[in-house]
Amino acid sequence: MPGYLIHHAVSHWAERAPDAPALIMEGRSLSWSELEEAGNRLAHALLARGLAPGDRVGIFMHKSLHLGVALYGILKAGGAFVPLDPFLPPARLEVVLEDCGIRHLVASDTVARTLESLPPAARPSIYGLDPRDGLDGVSWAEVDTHPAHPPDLRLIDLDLGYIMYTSGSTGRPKGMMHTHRGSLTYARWGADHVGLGPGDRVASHAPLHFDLSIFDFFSTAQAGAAVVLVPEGVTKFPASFTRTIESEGISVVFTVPFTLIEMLERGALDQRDLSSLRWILFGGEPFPPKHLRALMARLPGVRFTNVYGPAEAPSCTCYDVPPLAEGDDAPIPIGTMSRNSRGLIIDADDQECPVGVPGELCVRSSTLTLGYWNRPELNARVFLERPSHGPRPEVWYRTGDMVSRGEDGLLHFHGRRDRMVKTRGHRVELDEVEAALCTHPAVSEAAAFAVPDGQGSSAILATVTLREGDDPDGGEIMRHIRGHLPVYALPREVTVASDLPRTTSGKVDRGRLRDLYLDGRRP
Amino acid sequence: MSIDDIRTYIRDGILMDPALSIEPDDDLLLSNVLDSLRVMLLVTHLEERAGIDIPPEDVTLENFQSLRRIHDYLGRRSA
Repeated sequence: MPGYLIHHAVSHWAERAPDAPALIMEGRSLSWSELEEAGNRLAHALLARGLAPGDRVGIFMHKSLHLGVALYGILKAGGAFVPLDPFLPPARLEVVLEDCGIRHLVASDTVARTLESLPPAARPSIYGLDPRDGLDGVSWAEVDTHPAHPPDLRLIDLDLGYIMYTSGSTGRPKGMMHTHRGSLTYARWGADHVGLGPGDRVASHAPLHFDLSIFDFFSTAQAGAAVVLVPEGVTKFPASFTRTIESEGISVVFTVPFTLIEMLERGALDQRDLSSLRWILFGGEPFPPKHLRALMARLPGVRFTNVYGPAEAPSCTCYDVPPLAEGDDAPIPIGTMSRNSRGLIIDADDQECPVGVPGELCVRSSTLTLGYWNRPELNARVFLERPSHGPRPEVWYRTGDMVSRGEDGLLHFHGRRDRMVKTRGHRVELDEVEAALCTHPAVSEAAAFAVPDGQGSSAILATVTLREGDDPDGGEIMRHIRGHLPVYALPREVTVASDLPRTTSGKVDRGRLRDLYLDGRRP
Repeated sequence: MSIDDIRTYIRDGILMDPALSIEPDDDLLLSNVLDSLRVMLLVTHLEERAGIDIPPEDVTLENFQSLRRIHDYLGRRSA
């Protein structure tokens, strides 16, 4: 396998297969040697502007070949990349830039308007934009004047590779830190499991700030295969995505069940030749068996693997799905622990649960995050220390997921133990949605809850009460929170009510709100 | 259906944000006005209003990227 740092794979293939495609998008491509040189030039540009080892560098871009250059350029300079959702509103972007201490950012022209909306003091050095008023930018043309050889730096595999931000329950997003070693463990597991080789073409369908992208880019690079970047617009149209699979000859896709159900129902599968496709990995949410069975019947030559693992510990477990019998609607197991991962199912007293009894899954793995950036209280809460044979205790991560182990050794998922929900594969803390609603000056109290969306995922809904004398409608409150939350975390509907249902202890009864909604009655 | 009709439905019916400005050639996907669920709502509405059946293979980026493209698509379908 090529090297002990993530970006070693690029230098490795640049030497052995310089002209083979590394990245492909909409009829254009970058070969391994072009990617190697472009990455080195960006690394030198970052270093010339004072990037120090371990500095965090934001990637705030829509999909493009330059996005791949940004990934490797940052790593080659000894920096850690921080993927930022290109659709983030400025207020939310500012929170993450500040939380993570980001002083350098690689951007695409498509996000320039958001960057211009940041207060000048909050703007980092920006790379990849043509110079424009008010933004201190280094253009790609200027990056290309830097040397094409790799910078001479001493980096080790325990150095930080990336920080990925996700919804935080206090209303503040949290960033999880991952090392080169952890990322490579995940990447190599993925490449081996699927048997990736140089002939494969792997879709980059998930956005970069979603941890599936680590598989898309880095498992693929380990094998010397090519990544086909799928533009954000295409990912929203199942019939466009299936046409991309066909025209680009995509062989491997890793995505969320929601995307696959859409593909099944509206992907025009009967008009596509998807014979290039050989493996579909899915994760992030349970896949309803009836939809999975139908998709497997439509794509008989494709293997399917359920991959489970929070972004803190990617690819903990996996399950290769066997043919599903008609009428068998038992939930799909999450399978067995992947290599380099150990699991422990514990009860409320931290004691191991017997077979068949659900408890919280704790994980010890070399893919495990180092912890959350700048959040000591949270780190103290989510990591469990257990005695070891060595001088220091073993560190386990509490996933918050309820899991049981069956007689056959397979693990089964039973939902969350807290208020995190998954919507189309994205993690959303309902507390964060409520915190955003309460930033509207007229909102007195807010309750967010999730209901099934009929597509195998969840939809978020919210009910608010107003302060006396104020009367904004749900639409105005929606408009306000659109500036504070990523799009996937926005409630589908905000209802204004005169009061909220309460439990006997006086707490807001969100379960009752949910039941009222499902019964077709509003509070 | 006019471009204005389509804009009004997207603003008031889907986004519940009557103040949002959308130009005929704005990229509805890159500006994140539409996501896949909202595309579905829009398709259902267009089918009802225009009295046509929009098959899945027509629900593509090319036909739905902007208000003008949606309008042009409907024009071709009713021609």
